[in-house]
Amino acid sequence: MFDLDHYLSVLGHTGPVPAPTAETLRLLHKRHLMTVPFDNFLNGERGTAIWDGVDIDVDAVYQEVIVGGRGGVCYELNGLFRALLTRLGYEVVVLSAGVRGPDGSYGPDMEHLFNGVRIDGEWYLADVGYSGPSLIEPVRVSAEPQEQYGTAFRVREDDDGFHYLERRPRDGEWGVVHRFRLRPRAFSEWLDADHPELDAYARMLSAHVTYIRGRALENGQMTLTGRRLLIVEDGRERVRVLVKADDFEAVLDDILLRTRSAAA
Amino acid sequence: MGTTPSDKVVEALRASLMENERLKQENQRMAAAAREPIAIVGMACRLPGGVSTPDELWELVAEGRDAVSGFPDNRGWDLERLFDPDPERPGTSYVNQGGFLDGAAEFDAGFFGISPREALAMDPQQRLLLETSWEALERAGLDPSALAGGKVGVYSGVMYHDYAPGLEFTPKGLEGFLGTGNSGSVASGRVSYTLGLEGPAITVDTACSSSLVAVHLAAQALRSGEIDMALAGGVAVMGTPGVFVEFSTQRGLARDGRCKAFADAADGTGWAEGVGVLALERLSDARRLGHPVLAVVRGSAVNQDGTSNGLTAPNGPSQQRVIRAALANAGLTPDGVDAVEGHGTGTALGDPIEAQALLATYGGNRGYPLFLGSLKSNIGHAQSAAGVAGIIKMVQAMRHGVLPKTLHVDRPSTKVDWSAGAVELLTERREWPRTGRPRRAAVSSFGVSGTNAHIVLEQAPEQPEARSAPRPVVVPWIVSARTEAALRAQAGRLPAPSERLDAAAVARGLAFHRARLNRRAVVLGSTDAELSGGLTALAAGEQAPNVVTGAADVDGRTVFVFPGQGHQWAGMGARLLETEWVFAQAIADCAKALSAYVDWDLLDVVRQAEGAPDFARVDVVQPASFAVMVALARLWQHYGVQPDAVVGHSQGEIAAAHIAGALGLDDAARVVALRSQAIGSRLAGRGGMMFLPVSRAEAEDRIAEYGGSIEIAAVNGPASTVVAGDAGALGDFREAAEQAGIRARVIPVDYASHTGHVEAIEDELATALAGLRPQTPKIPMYSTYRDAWLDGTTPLDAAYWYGNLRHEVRFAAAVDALTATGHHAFVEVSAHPVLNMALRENVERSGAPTVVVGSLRRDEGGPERFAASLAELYVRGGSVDWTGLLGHDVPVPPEALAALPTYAFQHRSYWLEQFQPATAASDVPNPLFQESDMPTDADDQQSFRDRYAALPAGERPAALLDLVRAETAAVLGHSDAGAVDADEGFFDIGFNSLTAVELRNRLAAEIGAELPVMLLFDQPTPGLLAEYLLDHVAAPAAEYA
Repeated sequence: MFDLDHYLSVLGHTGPVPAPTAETLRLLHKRHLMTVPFDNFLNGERGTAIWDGVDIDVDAVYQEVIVGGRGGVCYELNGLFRALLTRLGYEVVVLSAGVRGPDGSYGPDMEHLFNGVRIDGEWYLADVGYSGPSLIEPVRVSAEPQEQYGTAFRVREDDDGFHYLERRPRDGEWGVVHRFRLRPRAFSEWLDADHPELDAYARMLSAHVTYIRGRALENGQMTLTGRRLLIVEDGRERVRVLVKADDFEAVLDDILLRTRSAAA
Repeated sequence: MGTTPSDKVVEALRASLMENERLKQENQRMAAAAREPIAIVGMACRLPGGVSTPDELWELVAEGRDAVSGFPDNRGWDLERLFDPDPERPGTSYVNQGGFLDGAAEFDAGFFGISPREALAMDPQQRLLLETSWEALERAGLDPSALAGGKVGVYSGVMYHDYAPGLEFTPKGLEGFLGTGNSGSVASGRVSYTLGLEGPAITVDTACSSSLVAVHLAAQALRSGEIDMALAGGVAVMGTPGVFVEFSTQRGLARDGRCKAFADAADGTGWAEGVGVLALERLSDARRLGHPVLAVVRGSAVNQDGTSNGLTAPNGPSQQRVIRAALANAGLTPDGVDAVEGHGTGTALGDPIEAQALLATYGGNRGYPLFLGSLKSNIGHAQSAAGVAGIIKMVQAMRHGVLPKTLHVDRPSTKVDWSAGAVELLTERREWPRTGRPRRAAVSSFGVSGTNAHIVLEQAPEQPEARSAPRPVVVPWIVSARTEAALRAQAGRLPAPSERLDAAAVARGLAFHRARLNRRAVVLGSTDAELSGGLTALAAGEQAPNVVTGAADVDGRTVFVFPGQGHQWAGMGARLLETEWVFAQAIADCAKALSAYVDWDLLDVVRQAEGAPDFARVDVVQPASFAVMVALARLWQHYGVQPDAVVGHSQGEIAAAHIAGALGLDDAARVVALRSQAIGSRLAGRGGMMFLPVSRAEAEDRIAEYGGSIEIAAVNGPASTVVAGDAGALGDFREAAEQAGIRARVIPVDYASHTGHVEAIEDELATALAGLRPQTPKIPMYSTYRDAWLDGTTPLDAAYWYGNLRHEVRFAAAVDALTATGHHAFVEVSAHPVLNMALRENVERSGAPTVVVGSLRRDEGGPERFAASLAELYVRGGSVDWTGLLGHDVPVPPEALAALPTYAFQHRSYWLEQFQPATAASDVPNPLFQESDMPTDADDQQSFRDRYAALPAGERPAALLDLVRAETAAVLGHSDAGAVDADEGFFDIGFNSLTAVELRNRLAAEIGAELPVMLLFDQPTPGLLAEYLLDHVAAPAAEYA
């Protein structure tokens, strides 16, 4: 069962229930990304029905993810987080985005689900269900660059109706993470409508599932895509290829916070 | 007297006078700074005639060689069509000679982290500037990689931009690289980017005066304090022969391609190429920092012709003005300069104007005449590199005290009235005149757009004699490179030590004045012969006992590992007592601390003095081992190796606790002495210990039947367990084990540590060790007794030291915990490595690169062995402070620094070939460019799919691997698949998300099958990818089956 106090304590919050401020959102967001990893391993079973569970059963997913400790995908993690934020008194809506591929093309618009939070009239992107590399703390919808641990973010509005979330590592260039429309989505848009583009995309993904795992660090992020590990620390990116099985397992354990004898 | 108005006036006057004085001093300081000589601390060049160093340039001019030759045939120029002796013929050159850079296409792309593909797209001028910038800094004795973030400016003269086609014709595969690769601004900017230099990067194009103007701008910026160091010079590589065609039309070229500077026979200029870079600093900084000063720039000036007789015509009065301005800037009169390296391009119009300007400015009222020459007579006109080449020539001339001959002078030009002043053309080589003041030379360059430059150089001031330093017992020659091949080549370049070349000075040069790159070797030698032998072996890629090599791939924390019993040997430490004062001091401290508890003298024991007890006694061997470990730890620390954590095995925990700061030396000495005495008196003779090459679980099974008379004493590794117990039972057990095929090894002790036997001395130890004053470790200590980090909650008191002796040693678990927390460098601090094997077994499982080294070895207890251990750690990336061996602040004499080779760049050829359509009528348009170095598509006749289907099953894996490697090489831009290792990670050898998709697409096309988008993410190496393809790609059925 969803339990607000337990959820907050898992995220490292002690004391009274916090007020719904931008600062609280910032703290909870980062702690969420550090504590609850992204893991798409269930996509192997989901087949082409990747988005069938977008309107999660909060209690069931809470039990598996927050209590049971498995990682989850965008709509699971962001669904839980939305439930948390709503109970804390935030104004939260569902947003969705098409992720930019390496060749510059975009995935379908409803490929990725995250949250928009409005505080004092300003919109913030809150996304605790993205494998990374991306934001660690919420990003205000503004073209003004916002630095987080050496990486800068901004949201640029284009005249094609999309907003573009952009990211710039310390020694790099601005690059688009994903594009989205700043309008709340209803789950029925996924469940009741036909989406040939989304379906084709699902068939492509399910033909060969590449497991992606990610978690935030105090000053960055780790993203393991297949056997390629991308580590961002203080805005500097490093890539390691995990050829050895032991090496791979150790990193996997680290990202998924599986118990290993922690030392001093 | 009170404070009257007049007092106030006096006060005000005094203040004003003091302010005046301050301003005057400030003004003097600024004036001095504005005129401070600029030191040339390093030079590098590539010039025609195969010249690749400033010394080779000197040989060329001193020998009076002519370096002009035929056109290069490796640039895709259509030489047959290009040359036509008829100047009237449009689109051709009537000259077929020039001063070309043989190695214009050569570049070590990998060294600078540039992919072959990008290198091909880069203008060779950018590549040459990178290599020569690195060399100029190395010649200054600087580690170029250490300048990152510094106020270092880059000023590069560049005038050619004709290597690549227009961007609209970008050849496939070079998209995105041609723009930056051929932009003038990036020529200097890329040097700054590659080295991380944060002073301004400015590319200067004033045509043929570019490099001299660049040096002028650098000097100004140094004097103004805008920068602290500069790389200044220029480069000229002719991507196309266009300039020959252009000047043929104008009849501006010498028929034979030779510049006959200031000669009567002058008939035009001869084009040449080159690159030169100077490393410049303020003289005061160079002296303070001990950098070699080759010469100084006393003054310089730049001006313009203004409206002259034509846009490109030289202007004599402007040349006179720039010379006078440079002399004024240098604070000199014309007779203070001995020689001028003239612009002297060999044109019938320009040379007389220049000579007249020199006569008018330098020609009057002087003792010796002004000597005039031009490097262009040797190598041709190197255009935007000409000025800096002239500087390098004159710096060398001043150093050698010789004025080299200028070539191709039939007689001084009769168009010049030489009688108008004392200017003499250097038709013969001559000694530099003795004037009683420093030698001085000036260099002129005049650009076609009218920008003139003149720079006055002065011989370097006397350098203080280098202080000599004692030669260390062992001399380490450290060599490093980016690749194995370069490492061998680098060793091959090093000169052998000799009486004239002090091995220790070279060692200091190599250790402190070169970059520390990742492929490393250390050649150790006590004698010159040993060093030479090691160097020869290294250069040949052979093993030698005194050569340590490795890749600096270990990235992690360092652990000192202190073993328990078993590393001791008679005579251990005795040699280091004589050669290492840090070791001797630590042993002396231990001897003093132990003397309160033992009736023998540690120094006597170490030295095996007559009558001293030997290691047969446990109450001698344990304290002596402890002392040697402590002293060795102090020696490692002295050499800059600081532990991030310590761990001890059994009694090794006592030394570990002392080094960690948890036990004072007196307490540690007390624990080791009194505890070993208790063992000797109460436990000795009752038991034994035995090593088994099996896991703990198997050992437990096997001892089960002995009913507790044998116990697990230590677990050292996954297949390395120590048992201990009653002597009789152990004897039986050993036979049983051997019958089971287990090679049990008896440990030569007659007691059973880490068993119930120890309980007999629990009370005794509690009494003997009461009152210890343990501290929380200052260096983190991992307890092998508690299998935990020792924080404040576990005091290292009497109870701990009883427990340490009584309970199982969980060494393997401790090493696991250490590797899991990022400790990847293990230094076994002992007289002989006894835990190295166990350490290796344990760390192998972590997968991360790890290094395990010992300290001394049995019967190898001298400084040579210790230095070799230091080297073993260093080559894998450990941080070692070589000043411990080579001394602090011992300057390296300039001759030793000059003897150090610059980096052995591993060259490959990169040149975009340009093809012109053969005839205008050709129906098939020729490709405008061909990627000369790129692999071509494999097999036109037969698709991979067909060939694959026809292969017998046994040959298919190899065929797939070949395909993957070939396509990988093609995507990365390597010329052959041999450059691709089957076991290297795609993302480690230069792939990014985009090229990953490209390789997947190419493979899918070859194989004719759909492949996953994230193919390379899941199959991370060529080998694994080939295996995957074998499993997932069904061979198409043959049609006739």
